Amino acid sequence: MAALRKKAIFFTLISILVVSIIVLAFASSSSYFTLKHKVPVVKTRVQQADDYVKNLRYAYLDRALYSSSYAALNALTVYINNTNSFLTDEADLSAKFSELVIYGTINGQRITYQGKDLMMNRTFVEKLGRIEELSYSAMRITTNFSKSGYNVVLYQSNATGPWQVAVNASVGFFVDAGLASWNDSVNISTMFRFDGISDPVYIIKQEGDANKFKKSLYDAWDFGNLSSHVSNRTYKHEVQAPGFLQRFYSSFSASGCCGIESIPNIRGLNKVTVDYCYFNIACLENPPYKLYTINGLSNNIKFDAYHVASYNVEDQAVVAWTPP
Amino acid sequence: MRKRGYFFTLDAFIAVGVIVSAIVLVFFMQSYQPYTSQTVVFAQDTIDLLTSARLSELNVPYVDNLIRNGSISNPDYTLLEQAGEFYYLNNQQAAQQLVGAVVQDLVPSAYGVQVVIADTVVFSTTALTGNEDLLVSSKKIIFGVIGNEMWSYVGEVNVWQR
Repeated sequence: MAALRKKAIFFTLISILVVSIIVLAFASSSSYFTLKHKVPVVKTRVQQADDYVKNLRYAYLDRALYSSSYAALNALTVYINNTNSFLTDEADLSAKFSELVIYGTINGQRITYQGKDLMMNRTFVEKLGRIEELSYSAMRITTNFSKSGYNVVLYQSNATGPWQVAVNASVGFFVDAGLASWNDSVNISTMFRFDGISDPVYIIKQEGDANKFKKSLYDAWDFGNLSSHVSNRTYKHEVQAPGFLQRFYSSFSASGCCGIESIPNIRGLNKVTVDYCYFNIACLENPPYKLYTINGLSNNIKFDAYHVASYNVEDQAVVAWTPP
Repeated sequence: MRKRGYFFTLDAFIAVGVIVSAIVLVFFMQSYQPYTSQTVVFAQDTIDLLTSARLSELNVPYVDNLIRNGSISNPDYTLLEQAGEFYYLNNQQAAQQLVGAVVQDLVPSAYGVQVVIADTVVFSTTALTGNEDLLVSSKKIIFGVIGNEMWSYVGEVNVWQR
């Protein structure tokens, strides 16, 4: 009887054990046994970081360079106004522009206008710092950009045309998202219009009468369009004229791709009243060496034969001066 | 013999009790959970809509009007980016109205939506209580250029099941 009781106890305990195993097998989640639940999290994290790096390469850096470059050009005109002198040459423009874009200074000095630092929070380095801060704050992704070697280049070409400038730069970066990291460098290029920037030629040659770049509405010319062009003080493309960047270092040589001209509001002298002609000794080098006024426009405006034809105002042109 | 019967009967009752307990544990042990699978997918879709779809693709009349009248200068912006631009221009009301119009048209009322720009709540269907059964969140860096100035913020979208 005692033996029988002991066997029964064992049978009962075994049955309880078997049932417990069955309960555990059905009720417990599979997470105790596999890592499948972690795979979607890893995938999402890496995808998020990859999207961030793509955004950095193809969008953020371009826009940061554009924003800093435009601000730098504006600051450069203020510098020219403050020093009352043109830059020395193209290399000087390049060096000063580069320093402004990267550090916001020229020869280590901040550029201010009416007490305001024009490059505060606008330099390329500050924009890079901002994205470093935001990437960690938003996504706990560590971003480190190179601190030198940006190779900033400012230029105009057939690709930009007369109404835009282009800026190239290169940046190295290291992005660490914990699960994955990126270590790379990227060449950035941005192209933008320079409307609204003051013309350095007017700043120096016509003190107190700075003219801001603005493209004329017209591509075809007649007296009416010329009249509006004069009143609005706009610019038109002219292959004999210097380009936008040349005006920073008073180069008046012809820029085939990118030359622009305007008609300054001045009086006096028997000179062709087109900016690069008037402010430089030019434009009366070829026969017939005559100056023409245009009926309906101020007599202060005088054109050479080339510009009479260029603006298509032969019918209104009247000889105003011939050489002695 | 009678005593054996007692033992056998008692044993049977214990066995039945164990089996019934096991059945009860297996079938009723799982506590209530919200139906997560569809909710998570929909919430993620809503976040993708607000953070990745371009305004010109949304087909919302209010948005189309803003594009036509020039209030939205760049139709290629996402909703979050445009809200960021309005925020930069100190026009939080415009940001709120824009997000509200899109959420009203495109997000079912069973889901709550909150848009945060630079730690400032610009839109929320209802206040978050912290007791939501399911909350899906996405943070993104948003940026743009207006005039010649560049702005950048952290934008956040939260979607939850009401």
